[in-house]
Amino acid sequence: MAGFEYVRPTTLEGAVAELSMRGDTAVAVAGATDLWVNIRSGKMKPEAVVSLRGIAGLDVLTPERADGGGLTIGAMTPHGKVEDSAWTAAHFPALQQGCAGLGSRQVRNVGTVGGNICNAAPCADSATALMLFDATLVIQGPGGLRELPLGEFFVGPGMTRLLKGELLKEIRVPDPGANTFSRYIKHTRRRGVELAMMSVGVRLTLEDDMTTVKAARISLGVCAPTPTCADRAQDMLVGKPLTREAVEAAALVAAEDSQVRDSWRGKAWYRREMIRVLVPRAVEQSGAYVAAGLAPALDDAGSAASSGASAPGAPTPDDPGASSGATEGGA
Amino acid sequence: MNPPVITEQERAQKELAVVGKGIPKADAGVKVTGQAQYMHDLELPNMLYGKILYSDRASARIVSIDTSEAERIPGVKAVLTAYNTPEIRFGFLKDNMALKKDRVRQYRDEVAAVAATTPELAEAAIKAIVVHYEDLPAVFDPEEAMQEGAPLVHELNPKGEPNKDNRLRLPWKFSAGDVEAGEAASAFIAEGEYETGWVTHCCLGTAGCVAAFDPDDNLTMYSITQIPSLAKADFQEAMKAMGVRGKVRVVLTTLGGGFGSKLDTYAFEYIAMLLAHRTKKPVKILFDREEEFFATSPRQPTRIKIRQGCDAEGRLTFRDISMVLDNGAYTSWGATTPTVMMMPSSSLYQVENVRFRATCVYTNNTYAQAMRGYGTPQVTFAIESNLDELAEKAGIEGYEFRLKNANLPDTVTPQGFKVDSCGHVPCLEAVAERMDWAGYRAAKAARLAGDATGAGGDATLVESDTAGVPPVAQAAWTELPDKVRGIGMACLLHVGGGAKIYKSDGCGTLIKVDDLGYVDVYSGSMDMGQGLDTILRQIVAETLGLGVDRINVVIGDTDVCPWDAGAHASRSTFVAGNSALYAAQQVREQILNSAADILDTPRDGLDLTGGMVVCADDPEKTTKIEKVLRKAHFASAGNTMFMAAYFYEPPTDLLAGDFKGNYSMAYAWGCHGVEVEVDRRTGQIDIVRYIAAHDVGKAINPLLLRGQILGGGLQGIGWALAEEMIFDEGKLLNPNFRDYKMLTALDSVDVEPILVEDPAAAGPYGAKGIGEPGLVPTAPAIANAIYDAVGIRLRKLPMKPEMVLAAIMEAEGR
Ligand SMILES: Cc1cc2nc3c(=O)[nH]c(=O)nc-3n(C[C@H](O)[C@H](O)[C@H](O)COP(=O)(O)OP(=O)(O)OC[C@H]3O[C@@H](n4cnc5c(N)ncnc54)[C@H](O)[C@@H]3O)c2cc1C
Repeated sequence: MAGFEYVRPTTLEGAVAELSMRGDTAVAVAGATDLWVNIRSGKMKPEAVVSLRGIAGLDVLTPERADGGGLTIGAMTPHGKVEDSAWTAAHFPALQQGCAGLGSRQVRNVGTVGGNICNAAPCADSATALMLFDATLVIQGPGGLRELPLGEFFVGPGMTRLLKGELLKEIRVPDPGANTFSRYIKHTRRRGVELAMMSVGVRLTLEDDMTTVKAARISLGVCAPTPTCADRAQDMLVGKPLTREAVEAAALVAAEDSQVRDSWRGKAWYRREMIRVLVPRAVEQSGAYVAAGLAPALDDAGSAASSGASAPGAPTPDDPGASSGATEGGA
Repeated sequence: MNPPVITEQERAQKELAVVGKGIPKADAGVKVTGQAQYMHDLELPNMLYGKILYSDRASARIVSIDTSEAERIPGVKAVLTAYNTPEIRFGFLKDNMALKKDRVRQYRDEVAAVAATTPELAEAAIKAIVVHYEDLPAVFDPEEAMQEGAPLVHELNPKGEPNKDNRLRLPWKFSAGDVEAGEAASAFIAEGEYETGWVTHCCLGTAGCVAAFDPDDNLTMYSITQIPSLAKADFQEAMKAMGVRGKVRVVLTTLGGGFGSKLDTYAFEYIAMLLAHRTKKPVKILFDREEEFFATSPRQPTRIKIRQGCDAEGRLTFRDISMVLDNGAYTSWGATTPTVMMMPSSSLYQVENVRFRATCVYTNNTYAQAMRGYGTPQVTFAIESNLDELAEKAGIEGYEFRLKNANLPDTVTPQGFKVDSCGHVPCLEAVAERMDWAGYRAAKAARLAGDATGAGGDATLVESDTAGVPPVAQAAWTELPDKVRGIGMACLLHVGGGAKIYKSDGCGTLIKVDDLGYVDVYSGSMDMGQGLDTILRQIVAETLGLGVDRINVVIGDTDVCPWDAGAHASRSTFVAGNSALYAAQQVREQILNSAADILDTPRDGLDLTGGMVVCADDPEKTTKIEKVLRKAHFASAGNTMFMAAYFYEPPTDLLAGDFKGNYSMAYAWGCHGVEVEVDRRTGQIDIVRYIAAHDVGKAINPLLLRGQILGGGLQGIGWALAEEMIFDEGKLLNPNFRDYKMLTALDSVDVEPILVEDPAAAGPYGAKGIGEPGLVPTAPAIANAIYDAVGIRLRKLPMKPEMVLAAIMEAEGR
């Protein structure tokens, strides 16, 4: 393992300048929980590493309003901060669950949301969860800021639309509106320190009649070369009454459309089958059926209690004590 | 030497002061504060770092090795290959060599090695070595390897004679009674084929050593071996092969886990010797995590065929087991695990007619070694799963079936084991009671009856094991809930009083007592985290009437400590414990005899307790032990210090020929009961409840005992459900904790231990071994519970969700 230069600029513009100047020989580092693994294994051999840790203002989790609304996540925000945010758990449950189920608490304390997105792994948990909420990325380049929808960001495993010298500044999550329910289920072999064999996120926003689906998102991890949304399946639900049959039909389409692959880590047929099984479960656990009068109130974690509908007196973003991760591990 | 008498009554008379107490481990403090010295911490002046170049193919001829570039790197002090070093052969059949010559047979073959001033330079030198290979045919499946015309992994046997095929010439056959007659007398017969794969120990402390020669060619080997005395003999033999005259001393550092992985010596240790001798400097080789995964020897994979029968009443009539074991490319202890598998095969439950055959086959895979349980987990998976199948055929509930056939005290098994203490039935009953077995069964039966009458019942409790009707026959799969529960149990038999697998199963102890009442105990045994040092402290403290803080246990230095057969076979508490006990009893006699003189009172009225020489006849004369020690030492005449030596050799039989005899001084029994929840839609298995009842003879330290049962249980649950080494044509694909699914803290199951104390007559304070049993019956207990829940019989480990789901979908016609 060769040594490298460690650069620690104090402004985002400075970091962009350092990276632009050095071209392909330099790489940005946030929590280093992906980068260091790649350097140690010899997959990456940067001559310089540009740390973003000295830059103020990137480790933020800012809600638009205390009673809901949108959310801005600084690129350097560690997953643990999102995990601990009762506000996020109340308003964007699937996002909190995606962050809380990543790696171990130690990894979540240093690994950042920005790093998860920019690393662009097919199994990226917080990225897959964010796909549910139509997030927009704010990118700083040599020429200034630009915005890009998260859904257009990924190109392939480890490949993104970031240009040379560009850095992710923050992620903006718009207000999904009232009557929103979401859930993220990470399917793993064990419960701790585990990458997803596949994962499923769902987000449903209902009309005020609490029956008609206004917006639907189904996001999938490890079901394609990048985190994806099951476009055809989610569209099937919109404008129609929420029913179990409709969700199951959509799950089937999501499974059929997926680009799951066979590997020694998991079989394609099994991943496909899990889409079919877990999409309905995620909807069930989001609390949407309860709200739509299709099910009695649930009582376990991931129940109506922690669903997306804003509860009065919802905690503020800095409140700790949110529910724990949503890992569906089978020992 | 015979053990001194007296012990039994003396033991019974006194209430135990430290034995039986859950005192914390002796090394807890140094481990928690980071003071414990692991191999990773060891550095010697002028030490070099060794690194090994492994083969990058499974089977090939070595055409050439170019080391010239590596040699030119400044700081590189030696580059060794088989072509510039003496040949060192090692292993059970001496078919392995420290550095491979002309041919590689597996990916982990050591082709070259370097020593350099830093680990980085050593790494760079390894990368600079160029090896040209010519691929040779390879074989990875043991059954294919047995076929005629399969490529030979070894053309010659170690004696230089040509091999006809890949089968090892090992005599693993046992029979008792008449299996054919047993079959003829059977009302029911169940048969099945079971398969277990590669799993590894996952020691958190990776393997390593430091080899250091003095100017007179004496070797000090800093080691993490579980077998200090036997490793010393191995290294001494290697010295002969190297043409080096000196003596070997093996010194242990703290071990970061053993689990059987360190029961044999490894090529890296001989390579460190070669490098150290060549450079005249100490050389350290320390495995990284990847090496720990691919270059240490895992558990032996098995394919087991089993047939068992019973009469109309459910009494076992015969058991017939045959198996094929993947030996890998070389032979270590893995190849001898069938000798231990014979034990449960012949003697778990009462069955007169038994046949057992095992064939070990060379392949181009990694080679196997010892791992916790030494083959018994694999064969118990077959026996106990198949037993449930047989019980179902006979229409007898599994627990009742087991009780009917359970082992009893004061019996001799078909293999000739003299079973005195036997907690089999108490363990079965304890599990049944704790889980309310009968109540669970009755509730299910009631609900099943509800279903049958069309009243509709709770489908979670669809009966699956009464009349062989699979649950799907009773309800369409769409009507069943996603998650269904079931219960299962499995039993175990293991050696609990040593095991004579070498010519000696003994252990020596030296004890000295100083003037101040501090006692040093030099034991041949070793500690790898299980707590042997703590156990010896307790036994010696109890015997000498002192607090454990007065007892210092010295282990892990062959220059200082007597011989021992090593930490295996769950033997240390029993064998090293007895050795320490008898040595301590000698010291005790010495002290009491001296005290009688000094205090001028009859010996019979004296006792050692609470740090005092207690005089029952004349309480005035009761005095501190130290006073007696000093008086004896500094007496004007006949000055004496108290010291003792004892070598305990269990009077057991070395099994050979027909493999009949009594090869342990005690037998350990146990029963695990488990409730699982099976997710019918994902195939995931959740352990709802896990009970582990073990016959431990006597719990010398209940705290450590609990640790052994919990640890064994968790390791076994991982083996059953998640862990597997995945090989692609001999290459390990998952040499890391990301992809090797060792369970984490979050996956921990709350294993509930139940201690059944049926004292072993020959055990120290009645104790039996418990190091391995906790792992043994895990997989079949879980498999039986899964069957109970969903009617799916899983015969291959690990029982991964996709396997479970595929089986369920097939059964449910999805
Ligand atoms: C033990 C362990 C367990 C893990 N488990 C999981 C898991 O369960 N789920 C999961 O999704 N991931 C997991 N990971 C991966 C990793 O922790 C996450 O992807 C994490 O979010 C990466 O963030 P980081 O801050 O550490 O990124 P870094 O490693 O610092 O960077 C990752 C990549 O992103 C780039 N980058 C970082 N920040 C920016 C930025 N602001 N702008 C542009 N480029 C940037 C870097 O140049 C680098 O290429 C695990 C890692 C480890 C070591």
